[in-house]
Amino acid sequence: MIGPNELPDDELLRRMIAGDEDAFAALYRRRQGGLYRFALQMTGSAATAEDVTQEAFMTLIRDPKRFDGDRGSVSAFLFGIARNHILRRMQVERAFVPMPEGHEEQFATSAQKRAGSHPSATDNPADILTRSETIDRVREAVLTLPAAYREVVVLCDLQELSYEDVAAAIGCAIGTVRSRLHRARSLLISKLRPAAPATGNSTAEILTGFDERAMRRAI
Amino acid sequence: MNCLEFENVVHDLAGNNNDVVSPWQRGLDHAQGCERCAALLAEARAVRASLRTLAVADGGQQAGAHVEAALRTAFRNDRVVVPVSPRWKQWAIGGVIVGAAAAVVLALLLSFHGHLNGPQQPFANNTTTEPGASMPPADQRGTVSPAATPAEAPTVAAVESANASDGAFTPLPDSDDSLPLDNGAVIRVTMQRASLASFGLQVSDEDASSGQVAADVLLDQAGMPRAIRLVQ
Repeated sequence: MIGPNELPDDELLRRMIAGDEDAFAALYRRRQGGLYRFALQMTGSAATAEDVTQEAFMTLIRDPKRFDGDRGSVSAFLFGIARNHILRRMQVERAFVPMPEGHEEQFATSAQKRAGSHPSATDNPADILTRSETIDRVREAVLTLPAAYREVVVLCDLQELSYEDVAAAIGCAIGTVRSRLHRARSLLISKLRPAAPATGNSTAEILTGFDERAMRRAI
Repeated sequence: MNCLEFENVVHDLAGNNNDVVSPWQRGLDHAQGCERCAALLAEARAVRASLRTLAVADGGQQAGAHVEAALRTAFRNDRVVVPVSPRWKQWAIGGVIVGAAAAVVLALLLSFHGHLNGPQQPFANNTTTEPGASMPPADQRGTVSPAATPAEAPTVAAVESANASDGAFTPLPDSDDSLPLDNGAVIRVTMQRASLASFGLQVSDEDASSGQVAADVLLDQAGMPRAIRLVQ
């Protein structure tokens, strides 16, 4: 017998609508990570990311019939709900000045995370520091993108969704996704470029060398 | 390919997206001969690689266990279970609802119709009803037969005379007295004295020229005038 974890999303959703809690749990566990990271990378706040994840699934619980398989996948549907919650929160929070004391709620920097973890024997401290700093720099650059560009970078480049799913999630044409992504990547290059003159290195020199090492390690 | 065209494909080149081979190869060829575009390509590749690194670094991030616990509780309490019912059952439910709505509308229409054609209610609301008003006794009514001909109809002067003596109603000559007057109503009207002829009363030329007159008209259950009393 096939367990819930092997079932496709739309079958899990169908069972969930019929009242199957295990199906709901399987769907949640499969999709919550992506939604959480999407919200985290869009807002920079872990607390907000949890709220958005919860709200997205609450919407699914209360109104599951809103899903239309002809308009996209269950995943895209969930990302679309999460996106609406994120944009609503961003509109509300735009009126507030962030408090420096609340910064611990924001992303823990990669360096902080590394400091709290146990490095492997192969980790070179210089590499760790460089990689952590660059991850933080790229993360901040992404967070400073306008929302329309940020969401396509996060969904396409960080969450690795297909153009079709991203188009369904944000409710636009695939061509629009492509053009926004192109513009967003160009903006990222320009945002990361100003740091170059201080070290005498280009953006590529700053990012590429360590990234190759990081990627090798990650793989 | 010039630098402007190159900028349009640089991110595809950076991601090794060679869906369209020709522009891809032409872009790479251009970058080999153009220092500026070669640097731009290197930057684009670096940004793509750093984004992948960021994606890997964040890959393990997920919502806390308390979120799942809260959602499961909500699922048990708040979920809206939509049972899958056969289509015929959905049609039957819809039919019952439409039928009930139609019955209510029909009942309202019948009620309204009955209200309009009711014997006295609409008049009673707009007129002075006198519960004590009644037809004259049978022996008095006998003075004017229901089947009386116009020639036998009472004159206006006779009606006024009768009203003056006892305030009673004078039966109208053409009225149908087969219906009971138990639930009858009295309406007060103002009309040209000459119009009293429409009630079957004889109107002399002298009466007709004497202006308006107020009268109480006694209606039967069917709303038909049965008797009249001129108001002094």
